[in-house]
Amino acid sequence: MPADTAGTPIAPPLRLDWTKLAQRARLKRGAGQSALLAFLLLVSLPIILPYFWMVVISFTARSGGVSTDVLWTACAVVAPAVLIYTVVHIAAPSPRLRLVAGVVIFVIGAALLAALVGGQLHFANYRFLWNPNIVEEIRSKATAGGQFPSVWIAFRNSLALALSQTVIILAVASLAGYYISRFAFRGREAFLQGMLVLHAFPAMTLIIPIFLILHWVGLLDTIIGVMLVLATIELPFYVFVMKGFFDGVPWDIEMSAMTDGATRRQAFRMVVLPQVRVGLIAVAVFAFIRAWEEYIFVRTMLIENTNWVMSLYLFWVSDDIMGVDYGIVAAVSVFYVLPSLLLYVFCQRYLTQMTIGGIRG
Amino acid sequence: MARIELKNLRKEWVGATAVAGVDLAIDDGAFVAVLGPSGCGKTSTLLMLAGIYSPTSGEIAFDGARVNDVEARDRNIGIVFQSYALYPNMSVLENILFPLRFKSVAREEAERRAREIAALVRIDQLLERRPAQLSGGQQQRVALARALVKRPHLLLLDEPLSNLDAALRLTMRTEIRRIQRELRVTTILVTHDQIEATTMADRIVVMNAGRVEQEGTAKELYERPATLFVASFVGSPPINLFEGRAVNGSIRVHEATLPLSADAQGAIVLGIRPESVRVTTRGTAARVFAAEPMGREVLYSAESALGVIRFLEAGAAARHREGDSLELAFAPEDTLLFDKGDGRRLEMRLAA
Amino acid sequence: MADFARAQLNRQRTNAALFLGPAVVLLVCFFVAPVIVDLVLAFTDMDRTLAVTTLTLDNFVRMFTRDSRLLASLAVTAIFVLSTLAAFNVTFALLLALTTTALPKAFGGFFQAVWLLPRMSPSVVYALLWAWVVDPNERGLLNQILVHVLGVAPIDLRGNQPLLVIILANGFIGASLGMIIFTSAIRSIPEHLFHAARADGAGPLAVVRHIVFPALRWPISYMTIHQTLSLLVSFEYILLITGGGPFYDTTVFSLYAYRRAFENGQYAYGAALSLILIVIGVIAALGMWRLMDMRRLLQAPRIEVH
Repeated sequence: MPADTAGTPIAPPLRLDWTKLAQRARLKRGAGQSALLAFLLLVSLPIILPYFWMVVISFTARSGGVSTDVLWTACAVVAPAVLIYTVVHIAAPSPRLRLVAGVVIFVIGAALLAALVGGQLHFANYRFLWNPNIVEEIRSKATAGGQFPSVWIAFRNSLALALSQTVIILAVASLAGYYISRFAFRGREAFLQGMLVLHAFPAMTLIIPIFLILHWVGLLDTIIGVMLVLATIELPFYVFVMKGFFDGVPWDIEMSAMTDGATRRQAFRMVVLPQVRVGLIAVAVFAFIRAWEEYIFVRTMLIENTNWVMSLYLFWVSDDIMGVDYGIVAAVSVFYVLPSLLLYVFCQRYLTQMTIGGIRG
Repeated sequence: MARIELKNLRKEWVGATAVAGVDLAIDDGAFVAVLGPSGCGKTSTLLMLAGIYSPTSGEIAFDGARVNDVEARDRNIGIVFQSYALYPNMSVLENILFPLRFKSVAREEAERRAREIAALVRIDQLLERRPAQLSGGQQQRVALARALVKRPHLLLLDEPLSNLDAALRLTMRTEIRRIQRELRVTTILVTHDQIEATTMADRIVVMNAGRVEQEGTAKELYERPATLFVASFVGSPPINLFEGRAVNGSIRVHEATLPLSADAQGAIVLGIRPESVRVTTRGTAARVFAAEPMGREVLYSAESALGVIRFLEAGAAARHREGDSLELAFAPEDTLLFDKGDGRRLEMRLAA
Repeated sequence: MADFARAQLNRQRTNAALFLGPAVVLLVCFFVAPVIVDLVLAFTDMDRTLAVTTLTLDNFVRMFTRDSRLLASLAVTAIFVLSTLAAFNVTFALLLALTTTALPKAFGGFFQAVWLLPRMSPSVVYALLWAWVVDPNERGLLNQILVHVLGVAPIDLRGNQPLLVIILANGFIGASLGMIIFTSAIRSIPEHLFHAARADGAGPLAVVRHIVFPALRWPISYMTIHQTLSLLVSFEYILLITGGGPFYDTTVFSLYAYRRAFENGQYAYGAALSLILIVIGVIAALGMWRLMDMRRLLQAPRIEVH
């Protein structure tokens, strides 16, 4: 028996020094959290600084040169603000207090920034949005291979490419995903296994033969060709994702629709599809972003500089005037990144819904 | 430690207050149950005691010393979670040994103590298994062993019986009480089941919406509930409640007027427990509309001038049927009266 | 009765064609066909003219005996893949996941958002930023810090240590992905296990060792295999940041095949080189298929009615 003698409690009459333990715990926690923060801040600087710099340059650089004073001034305001907020956040226990402090610090920081740096902000670097001849003006000659189009042509093409690719993926993946989810057809297992293998298989290795195939069917150097290729490469993944979503829809509502007189196809369209709306949105956003950002396939397949997309536009602009005008290049970058960023922020919550086996590709 | 005190303990999350000012004092060696519906803050209070949540404000004191900032690992407490929280990748023995790793106990001594505890909770045959291979009751006992092996000063149990079937629940109730008596470790049990609370604990704390409604023995809670909530939560089947209006010396309930033992005004709720109601030859007229056999007794629901009255009769078979008319009586000293506004019990009864 | 059965069979067939057809067509045309095309192409002599005149084993002979650049490229590939994988994709990603989940939600969330940036930026932008950072003249961001903050002379990272640059650049991307996967694995550990461990006396390191790592065993294996494959075949960032240079100093095997095909016009040779990668890819894909939980994914459908 654990008791020493009958009835004696097993816990020895220990008098712990609670106050000392409390003190030690406070110190440890403060030190631990600060160390973690310091570490993360240090290793994240190589990411934070360049992006911050890009935004700042796009709004402040003049005549091509980069004035670093603005950058450092901005850092001098932002860094202490963040540090102060960090201390407040750790020290204050109540969430409301933190929120109030956060807002106050943000307002003060913004005001300081506006006062110190505001005067130097301008939009001249964004003139590529309304003036298509920026490169020619800077270099006073046409670039090799032809003139630069207006950025809006590249924007339009990128948009067309991304949207149509998304539509294709949505349609094809939904149809296939639904069928696999619902029907026990002959060869279903083989089909799924094939899809899985394709999904794991790196499509980049096929870039050379894809180039040739497009050439042979005459789709080389067309947006349509690129669109079909991009859609196909991602298809196995999205088929699985849609299958997963369809699996989550109970089949009795289809059955009841069919007993109500609908054909299978009608049931699919009218009853099942609305149920997987969330999945469709998630797939659409991700497919769109991927096509929007695509570089290597468009660079390889769009060989003549007649079809411009945003990634190519940025690449050639920077290639041409990189050493000369940082400001414009930064501005174009910001303009290019913005849609992706906004979409990503918008669909943050959908990120977790797209998984196969708990692991997102 | 001799004494645990909670002083005005609060826990707030963004948008919700889980614990809204709890004051409590628990003596060494006591077995206290914290009873309340889900969401009343009892688990949050328990976790703050354990050091897993930190209070938004207020104080937790062991032996008079403030321990809010003391880490969970330093508090020398054992806790059994509702889900048991057994480490899935370790065997039962390793699970039980786990706390001893951090107490610099030699391996042999640790194993001896682990097996001793395992024998105490009667799982010594299962030491090599993995948690996934155990039944719910076995898992619970492993969790209990793990909590006890470090010889804690305080044992915390979060709804330990809620995942068990009825027969097992009965066995484990007795087991836990036996172990607590033997080891004399201060124990706090959190539950929503009043039977668990009344059968296992010496004192019961009733909580609702983040506050303590009443604290006392089961008898005190049953006979002298401090609030309407306690009266309706403690006691099975639940108390009959009738809303009425008091004017001077009497109260008008539904279609009946009853005399009060003292003067009162305003909206008042009358409470009569089903077990205080008897079928007699002369009393309040009532008509039965439902009869539910509950095994040992039958619960009837009847319409009367007061409203719907539920009452019990011993015996497995129902003696009255739907539509039967009866006379019901209850002793005035068994009645309870509450202020409708704040739910407080009033120190008066129906007059004889 | 027979008519009904035939009609049903037809409907089944059209359904199959309608629902599965588009996917099958696309996949065959642009996924399966290229594999076959590459296989054949590797044995031809296609060059800039895009014409095939003979079938030959010459590509493979060249690959195994006459190509010194290839050997150099293999060395570069080995260093690149191993370093990036070990240092960033797995180790650093783990570190990020552990540290960001140990902090309060607001801070952890902030750093996770920051580390998402590399992966979610377009590759051109990300590469551009790296180009700026390692710009050899005084305006490069790294050099700015070196000169103005540390008072050291500027360095030419891109010229002198191009391999380091691409390892870092790809590493951050890999760390970004790994962080997401490991963080979600950590988040899916039931919270009560952490509570129990803390109450049992475990300090933060003990919690990581006993609670977190057992739950990460599978994601770590998956990431290692998946990322090895990915690093072997992807060259987008390398192409954008260094172009594979200076000369061929940072040209990994996959980029080498690409450059031979599209810069030198040696399409057949490029196809032959790609064939090696394709074979590796197929083996790896089959291997991963075996590793994953097949039963759950191939779960039988709810209905048999067509």
